[in-house]
Amino acid sequence: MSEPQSNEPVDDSGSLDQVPNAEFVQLFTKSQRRLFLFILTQVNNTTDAEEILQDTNVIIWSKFHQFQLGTSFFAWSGKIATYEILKYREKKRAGRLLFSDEFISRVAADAIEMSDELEKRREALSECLRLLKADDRELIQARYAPGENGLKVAERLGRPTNSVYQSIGRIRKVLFDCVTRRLTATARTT
Amino acid sequence: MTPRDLAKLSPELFEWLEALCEDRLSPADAQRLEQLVLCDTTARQAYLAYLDLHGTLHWNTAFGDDGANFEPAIAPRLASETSAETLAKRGHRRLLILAASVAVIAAFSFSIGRWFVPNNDSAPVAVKDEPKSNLSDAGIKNERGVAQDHEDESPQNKPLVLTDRPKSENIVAAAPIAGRDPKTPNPSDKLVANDPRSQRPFGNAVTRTAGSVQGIVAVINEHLAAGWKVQGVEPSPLADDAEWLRRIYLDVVGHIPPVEVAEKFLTDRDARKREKLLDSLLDDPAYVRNWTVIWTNLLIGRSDSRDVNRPALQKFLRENFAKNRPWNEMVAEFISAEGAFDQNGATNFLLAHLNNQAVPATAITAKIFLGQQIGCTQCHDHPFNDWKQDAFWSFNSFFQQTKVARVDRSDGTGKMKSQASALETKPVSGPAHFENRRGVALVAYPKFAGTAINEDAETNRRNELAKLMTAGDKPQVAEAFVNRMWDHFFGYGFTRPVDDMGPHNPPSHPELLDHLAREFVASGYDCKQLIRWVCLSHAYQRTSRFGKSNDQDNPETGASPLFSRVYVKGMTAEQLYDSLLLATGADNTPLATGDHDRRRHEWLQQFVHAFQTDENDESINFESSITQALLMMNSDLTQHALSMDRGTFLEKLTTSRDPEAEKIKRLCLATLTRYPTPKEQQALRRLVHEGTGSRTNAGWQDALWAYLNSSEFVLVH
Repeated sequence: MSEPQSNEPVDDSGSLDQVPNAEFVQLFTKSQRRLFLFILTQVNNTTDAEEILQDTNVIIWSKFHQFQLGTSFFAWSGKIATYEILKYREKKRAGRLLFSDEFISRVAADAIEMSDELEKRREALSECLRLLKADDRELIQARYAPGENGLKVAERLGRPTNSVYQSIGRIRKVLFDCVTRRLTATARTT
Repeated sequence: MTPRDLAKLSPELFEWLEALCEDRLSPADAQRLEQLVLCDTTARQAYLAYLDLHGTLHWNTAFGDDGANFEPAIAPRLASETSAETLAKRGHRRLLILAASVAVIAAFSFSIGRWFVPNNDSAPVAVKDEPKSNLSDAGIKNERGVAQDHEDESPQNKPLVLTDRPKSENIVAAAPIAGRDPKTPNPSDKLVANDPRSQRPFGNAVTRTAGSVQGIVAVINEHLAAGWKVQGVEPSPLADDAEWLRRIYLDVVGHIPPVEVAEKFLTDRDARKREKLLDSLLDDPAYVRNWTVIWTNLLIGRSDSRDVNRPALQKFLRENFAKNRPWNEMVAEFISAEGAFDQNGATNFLLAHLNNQAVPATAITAKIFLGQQIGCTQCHDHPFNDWKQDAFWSFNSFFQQTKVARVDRSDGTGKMKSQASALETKPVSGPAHFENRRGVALVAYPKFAGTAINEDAETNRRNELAKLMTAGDKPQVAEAFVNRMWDHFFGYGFTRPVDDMGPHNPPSHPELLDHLAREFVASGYDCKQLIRWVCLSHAYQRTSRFGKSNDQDNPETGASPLFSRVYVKGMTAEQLYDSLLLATGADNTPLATGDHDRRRHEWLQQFVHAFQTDENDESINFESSITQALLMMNSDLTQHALSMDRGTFLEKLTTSRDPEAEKIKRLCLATLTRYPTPKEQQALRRLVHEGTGSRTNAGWQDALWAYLNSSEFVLVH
């Protein structure tokens, strides 16, 4: 990790050597969700994925001058993320890692291969969310409210944990199937 | 990936993915999920798409649909978790980088001043123009709301938030003499005991009497030797006294031997000194402490998140281990315990696991007392072992009458002071209800290992279960305990994992396990006797080093253990903490006090994360890394460990009148329980001299630091 020229005063003109230009910032901003999802498939935990994203962002910013405009920002930042995931796994190794290195590398490779399809699925998801029954939509929104998880939702609603897990699982599966169907349908019509 | 592709996938896959999204996938299921995802492309795509869906839902509610609403998320939460001082020390570099990057974005779209609102509490910086949601029972109407009242766990503001947890690079930088670590000696540096006496550590008389310690030890020796012969393996030579002493201390009493004991033991010429030492350790108060720690961790975990009375459980364990209470009686106490958690410490085991329709209680009881993993059979028949789904619920049915009650505790003046949890038995009759995979509702009556009990309300089911579990010549409880003990001392049990026994996972030495379990029952479930048998076996006397003749005996590669050597283990967090204090004299509190236990427990909390899974798993994120441990110990203690304050090891060492060579020997003995090699002597002498001058004794501090940082210190070998 190289030191950025942080003691220089930041000016709005944004000379390319000193600070990233507007295009870089835009690419960076737009890539955040994709990058987060890419990391999540490899660490399985949203909190950890956010932390790794944060570490990745630090590196991205310190190395912005190495990025060449016109090349794929996602490919470039994905490599940085992969390295950060590796560091995270090293750190966690003595604790508990759910999955093996082989698993992670296979999944990461497929994630890149599948990234267009996944992007389409994300678009379809908002439509599928709209189609949910009102009750179901409320439950899934409660589940994904910041800081929430199935357990806390169950406690708040005063329902047995298992039944809330089952409901949330059912809704997620409904969404998953809905997205899959929509994608198959679009594939046929185009 | 089409609906038709997905239909071919096993429904289990989606169950596992679901559990994964809620952080409740058990390690065993994770392994099965991994297998499936690795060997099936569609399963892999489903995995990716499912997690992507989960992540998208998470991201969108936190940051908005497409990341366009990203800016508020980068509000830095400066110095929220630790003092500015620590931040300046550790996170300085990161702070600069982040300040730079945040500043850039700020220049791009916002005025700069807004990001650096001084913010000393842990709440995220308020984002004025973002609507706040009202979190109500009905759920959230506003998808993009930022919930302000969940600041401690809310991830929504994190992507560029500063945290200043020590990163590995900072840790390395903090080590005073990084790179000067005298290397762990190469195996050839160290001579293996070739004193003829130590080849026969217990003297000559090995008379074979069935049931006697010698008789059982002889059986162990024969069984293991037979295995070596079949596999063409020569066992490792005997461990020298130093290696053996350190190991038996860590295994039996949970910390390294004090330097005075080591000096005395290494010069002792008694042919039966190992046997005598073992006897004295079994009578040591530290024995009680160590096994209390081990079983507290197994029974309720290290985390403080569950509503239990930890001190009361520890008191129960201390009293029982102190009088060497038969193991079957202890198990029966845990299973049938009743009353308030402060008055009957044994209740805390079930109290920790009765959440979620006693599913964890069912699974964990089977796992730790029976060595059987049945967690997944709550939903479906076990794919590999004998447990069927109805067997899980028949077992679960024993806990059906058990309820958690709250009892008020008053101080005598009539005012309510506090509340205690209690285990109560309610007169409930009839079966447990469950659904099979097809959604068909089924019932299960209390039944254990083929024996059904009366399902009426008058029969106390847990009392019956306690009897059933501990009855017979060789109940599973005995076999599971023997296996666990063997694993504790040798580093591997007869099965792997040690708590996954059953026909699907045959033990490495079935006859020996069977024999030991029977002898254990015949001894009256005498835990100390069992430890004697294991620790006096020839195999346990051997070194952990191995050569060409037995390099195939390496369970790490997946091979079945042959016990032709003792396998190296990492220290547990508790062993490391206690050993550090013992070696450095950093804490003047004697180890065996409640005060010490409490401080160690607090120290441990930073490593532990509890999951609310069906088996109430927890992970301990502890790397046996001494530097990390030292840094994480409260800093006063760390400073004290290396200080020259009165009473510390270093103070005593440096003020003694012994010659330098003597001091170096003592330093090595206090930390690694052995004498330094000539090479080490040389290196240390240099180190000690380099340090003197401007800072007197700095060299000694560096030397101690180096020893504590060596991998030899953190391993049990």
